[in-house]
Amino acid sequence: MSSTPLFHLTVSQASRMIQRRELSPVELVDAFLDRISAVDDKVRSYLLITADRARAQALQAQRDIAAGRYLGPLHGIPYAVKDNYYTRGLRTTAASRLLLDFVPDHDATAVRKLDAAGAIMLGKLNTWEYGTGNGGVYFDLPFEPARNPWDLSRFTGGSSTGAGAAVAAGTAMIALGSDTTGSVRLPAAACGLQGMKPTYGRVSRHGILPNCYTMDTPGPLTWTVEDSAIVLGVIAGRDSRDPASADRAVPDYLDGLNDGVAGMTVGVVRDVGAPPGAMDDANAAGLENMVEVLRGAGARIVDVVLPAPIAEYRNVTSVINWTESLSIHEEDFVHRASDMGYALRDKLMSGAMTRAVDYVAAQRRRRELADATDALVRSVDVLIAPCAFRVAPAFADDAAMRAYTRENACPPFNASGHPAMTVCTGYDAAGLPTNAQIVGRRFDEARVFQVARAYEQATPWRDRRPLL
Amino acid sequence: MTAKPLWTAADIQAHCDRYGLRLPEPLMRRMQELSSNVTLTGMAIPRMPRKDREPAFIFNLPVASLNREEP
Repeated sequence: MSSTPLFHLTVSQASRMIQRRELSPVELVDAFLDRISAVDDKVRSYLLITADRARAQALQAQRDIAAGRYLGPLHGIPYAVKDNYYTRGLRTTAASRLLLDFVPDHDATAVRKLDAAGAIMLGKLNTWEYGTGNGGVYFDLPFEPARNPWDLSRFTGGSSTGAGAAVAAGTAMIALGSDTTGSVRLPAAACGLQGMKPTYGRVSRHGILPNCYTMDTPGPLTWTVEDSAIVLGVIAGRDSRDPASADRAVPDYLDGLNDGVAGMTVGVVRDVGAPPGAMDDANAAGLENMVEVLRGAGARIVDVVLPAPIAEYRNVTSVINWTESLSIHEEDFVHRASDMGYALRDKLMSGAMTRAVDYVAAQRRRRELADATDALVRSVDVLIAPCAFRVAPAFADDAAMRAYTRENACPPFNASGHPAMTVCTGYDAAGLPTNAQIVGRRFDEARVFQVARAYEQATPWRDRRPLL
Repeated sequence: MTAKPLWTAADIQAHCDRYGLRLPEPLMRRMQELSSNVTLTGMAIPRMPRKDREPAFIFNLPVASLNREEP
């Protein structure tokens, strides 16, 4: 570990060192700010860097820890949030021309909880405009798009583009994103991270610019499963300011994290009903690797199928997403459509043509799909399934870019609300990360973490970092 | 998406007029291109066989306790 640069430590490693006073928050924050200075001109993970504020907070954390006021595993740990999270007194743009001067007067609940835990915000991360779009990147926003640290000519996955780029590049130790139909899991997949979309309602949406009221789910992107468990344990919980917030106790996600999978029943969804050839060979091999590793660790593997083809889930989530987004942005769309980027406009135009009866039909069908999906998930301990079907596409290939966002297995678990975590399953011949998805019962993120951790511990994928 | 848009340019113009949308010509053309996908996606969603099959809940009273169930 002594040869590991500070910006590539995991949260658990760094927090142990901070607690033992082998590492100060000031050293750690400075290492990340230096890393940002060194690589972020290329990676573009940040839209706003709050260096002075971070240094001041790090100094305060150092003093508090020295005085015996250690707050826990996030004390002194640097993090960053997608720029759709409200941050009091700090510009929050969502990468939109419409919000270039917007400064919120309060923090998102998740930001407030991280700050209360002693974590130190480094800045605001890149995103698609308002955290949404049509899958394409058109270089027409006020900021350059984030680039994939594994290959700078490639896409990070969206919409939490900067979150994926930052954790992979070592410009943040933790990133928070938001997932409506894959916006945490797809950047995690493209950038080789572990990305957790918790159960809908598990993490408060308060203070996050809405994209789709009935599906938006905040979640962390981290290098390891343990780090994700640490972060979710802090940001989860009931919040009366979010009408969808669930009144459920938050367990200690580190308790039982290393208990393995022996005796568990793991359902494998190999075929999600996608067209033949939709999934590339490397990702197919990655999924099989996960199956065999879990089988070898003592899990009972059973083949299962989703209750409907992926296209049916996608139709439902598309209609809901288009319509709710337009309801959110209607006034801006009517008056300022020309100030929006192509990708957001495309989505809102689709919303403008969707019939009300189709939206209600989508919510009615969603309920059936959610119930059927829940029955499937409850028949096993966890599901494993593809997530992104392909490795990160090149920006230059617009068709592949749009396919990456459109053709994947994320939407079923936004429609159903189940927790789903993207896990790195290796690398293709060009060194690009592959991925699969672990899905748990509602509010049972603990078991998802347990399975993901068992797989992560049995494989060498966390030993490799992008070269920048 | 079908080769021929299901909405004509006049349909799009009338829809935008009714909606209060003033979009430049290139955006109107793009809207027409998108129209078939929107229409077909909406129509592809199966309708419920019974009228009492309600939508997924999107509104909960503050006192609702449906989400207290254990996993």
